[in-house]
Amino acid sequence: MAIVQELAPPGALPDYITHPRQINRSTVIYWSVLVVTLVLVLAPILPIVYQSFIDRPLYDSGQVLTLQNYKDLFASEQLRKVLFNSFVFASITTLIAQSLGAFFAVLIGRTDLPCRSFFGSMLLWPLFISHLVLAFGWFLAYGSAGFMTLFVKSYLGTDPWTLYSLTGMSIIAGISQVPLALLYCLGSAALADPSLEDAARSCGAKPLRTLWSITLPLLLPSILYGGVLNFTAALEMLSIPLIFGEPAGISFFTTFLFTQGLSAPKPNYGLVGTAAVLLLAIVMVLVFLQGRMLRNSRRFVTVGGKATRPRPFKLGALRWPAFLLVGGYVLLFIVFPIGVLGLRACVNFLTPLIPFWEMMTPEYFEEVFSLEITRRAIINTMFVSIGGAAIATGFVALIALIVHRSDFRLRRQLEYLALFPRALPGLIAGIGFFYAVVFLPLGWMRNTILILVVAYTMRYIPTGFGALSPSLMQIGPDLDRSARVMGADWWTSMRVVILKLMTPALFTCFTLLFVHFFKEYSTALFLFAPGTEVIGTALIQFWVQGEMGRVAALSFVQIIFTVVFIAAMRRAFGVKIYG
Amino acid sequence: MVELVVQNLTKRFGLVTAVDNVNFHIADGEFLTLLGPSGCGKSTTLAAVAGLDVPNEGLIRAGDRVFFDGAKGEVLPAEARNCGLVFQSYALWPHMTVQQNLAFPLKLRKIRTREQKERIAEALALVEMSAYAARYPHELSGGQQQRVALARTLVYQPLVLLLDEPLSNLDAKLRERARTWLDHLHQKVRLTTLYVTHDQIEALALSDRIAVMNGGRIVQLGTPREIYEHPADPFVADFIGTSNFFQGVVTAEDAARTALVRLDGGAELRTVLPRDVAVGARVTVAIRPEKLELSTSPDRAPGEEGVVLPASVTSRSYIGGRWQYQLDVGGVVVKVESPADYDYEQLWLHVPTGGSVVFPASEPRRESITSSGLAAA
Repeated sequence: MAIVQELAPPGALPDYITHPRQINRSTVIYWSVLVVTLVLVLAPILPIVYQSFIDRPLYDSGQVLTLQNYKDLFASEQLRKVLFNSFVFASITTLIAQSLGAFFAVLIGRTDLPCRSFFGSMLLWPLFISHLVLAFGWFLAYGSAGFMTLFVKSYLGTDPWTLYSLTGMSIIAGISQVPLALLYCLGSAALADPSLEDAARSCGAKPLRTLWSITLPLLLPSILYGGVLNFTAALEMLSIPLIFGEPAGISFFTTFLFTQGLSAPKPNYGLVGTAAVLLLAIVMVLVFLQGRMLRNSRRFVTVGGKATRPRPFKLGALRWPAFLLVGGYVLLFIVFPIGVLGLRACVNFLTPLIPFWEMMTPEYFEEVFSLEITRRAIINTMFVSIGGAAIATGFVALIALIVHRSDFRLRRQLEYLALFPRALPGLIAGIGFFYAVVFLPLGWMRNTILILVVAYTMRYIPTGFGALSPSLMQIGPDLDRSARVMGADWWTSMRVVILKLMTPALFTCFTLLFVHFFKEYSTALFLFAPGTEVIGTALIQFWVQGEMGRVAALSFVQIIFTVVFIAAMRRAFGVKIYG
Repeated sequence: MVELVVQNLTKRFGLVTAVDNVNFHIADGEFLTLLGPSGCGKSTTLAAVAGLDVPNEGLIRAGDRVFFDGAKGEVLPAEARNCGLVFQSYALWPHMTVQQNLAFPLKLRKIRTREQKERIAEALALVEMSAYAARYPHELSGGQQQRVALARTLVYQPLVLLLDEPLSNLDAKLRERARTWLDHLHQKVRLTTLYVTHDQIEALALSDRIAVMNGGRIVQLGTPREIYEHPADPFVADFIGTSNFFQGVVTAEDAARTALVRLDGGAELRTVLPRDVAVGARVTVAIRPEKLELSTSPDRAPGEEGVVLPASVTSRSYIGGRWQYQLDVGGVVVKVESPADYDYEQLWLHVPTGGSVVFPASEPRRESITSSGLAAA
């Protein structure tokens, strides 16, 4: 009988052991998280849908339910043009992005291309930069008065190209979406498992033949899935249509919403709401498609046995031409636009005809740190990004814990809800929250940066959830079950065991959300007010005013901050995002 | 320390009934093992007792504390059951030292730091791991981790101890040592214990009683000796130890229920009939290999009861110290081990009357038994 009974009697058991209740703090947490997520997701959608069915702005009294907005929208010639432009733009963009992305993925993932890991990180690097800033870079480098355009023109005598066309814009958008395509192709198991290729080669297939008949078809699911993502991203894109389309009079869905809802002297609320509902519906269909493809693509996942070290294809004589090709691409389309942007921030006037060092000025950088508006924008952006990303990380962690680690009976529904914001373009989310603060008792949030934190958090729940889920699923289920059996309730076992073990993932999630919050602009456009500008909105304001020097300087500051932050997180916490 | 009662426990996953109306009663301090092949429902039963899985029907109670009552819809959450569960994976928290791992359940019970230390020291001494308190789990060997997992469970004196294949991650040599050690430990602490395993040796060596499970049901519940010597059906006879199976018809019976069974191959066996089998019935006769004896002559030893059957040797192999013979006895394949090296094509198989168990042939049997007549090891 002895030993254990000789130990002192057990101490006082916690209340929830001696008096178990149906409602305990774990159920309180489950339900609060579900309700908050539901409110976050519905807050922007319901007002938009409601607005689309009434005859006047939703803050006016005497509203009458009507279908007139829909009749007007579908009758308008403009809608047809806008739809046509948006779909052509998205299609060409996707085609370019996927072809280049797959090409680079094979070169970097499977061949002996010199410096391929360096090229890999260079090609992925634009993921950290705002599309708006990339578009400015392209404008300064290859626009009608761009540095390279003028340089080539001085030899040819005529305009060598124009970006102010559907094709031109699609090329810029395509190149700026290459990183996403590359990311999905590089993550594909087809590149990680060389045994399938070895099998083909042992049957007598030559390397290039193997590449064409085995590697590329296996990569196809990743290319297609990335393609749907990029198509959606191009439909939602505001930056390039705004910077290149508006001056040329080419209208897109997003610029239509932007001009009708914001810059028009008398916004047509009914039309904006209805157009927003239409875009929302289109994107929802695309996101549904993504979900289906992801499920199907798992069938293509190649299951590898033991880890084999991939043997890269020998490019042979093509090795250095390929190096020059990739190097040239990186230099011309990534380094050069950003470099010109930085250069433009340092000079009064940028042209290849005058040596730039004769035009050097510190004026714009001084302005960035002395002008009230830019200082405020930077400080607000820092607050929103650091504070907001921290809050969002905490909230997303709670969602992920409940979805993957609880016995909450609505946890599947919570997961759907958490992934829903993928279908909500930033501009629409902005319009929605803009309506919501009018509509719901949230007036006090108006004109504060809190509304930005709320809107950003909602938009990026899926991003954070995607960053946390894999690492959460790698933690064995017995670890928290053992704590439960020992007498810890759900929250204690999460806090003491699971959250501790997922700390690295939390830092990664925080860094990822910081980068997204820092570069976000489209969500903020409808939500900012004087005093709550962020860098993105200040950039668009300067752009509209034609202050190109300030645009360049502020863009450059944004890039520097991002780079420094990522480097610091990598050094301090070993955070690695995007490979 | 209390008794553990499980009544009419049923758990369904969709259309599959994983646990089908299971009943057992573990007395205070008793060691009961759920034994069965994988997928038989033993782990689901354990998870239901621990509170990690909610069953569909039934009652689970420890002493007067009701863990689950399907009729009333009462479910006590896992943390309120005060059970101790040792996982197959040990589930030691990798970010805590051994000391911290053991302290966690005590902190939950708001025990003062000084007392915590004393109890942790005692629990570690009990599992002979005192020297490793400051180590992290990844710095320990598998056997050491297993003992720490057990200490972490014993340190807070659970009502019942639940063990989910705790030895299966150890290599064969270590498993044998851990088994002896676990037996000693149970003699010392005398906790009401529910043990889940698919290893018959563990079950036989450790248990006060064994519940053999198959297809979600308990097919036999009894002491290790009862289960081994009087298996309730061919499945148990085959799963616990090894058996050779013969099919036949009962042809005659005397007052002492000693009967003659005519085997399908034509030979006759002498055996003892169970109560529910009469003359004329088709039966399956199971015989343990160690009850069979090989010899070169058909003559019975003095005093020997039973029959002697001619057996032709199909193959034989040396398995270290012994020979394993595969024989053809009237069309049935029989495996026998013997220390003697017989280099003959024809041998004699001595089958004692009391060494066989008879089952009515109508009972459902596993495919492998009927098709090959072979005893799986």
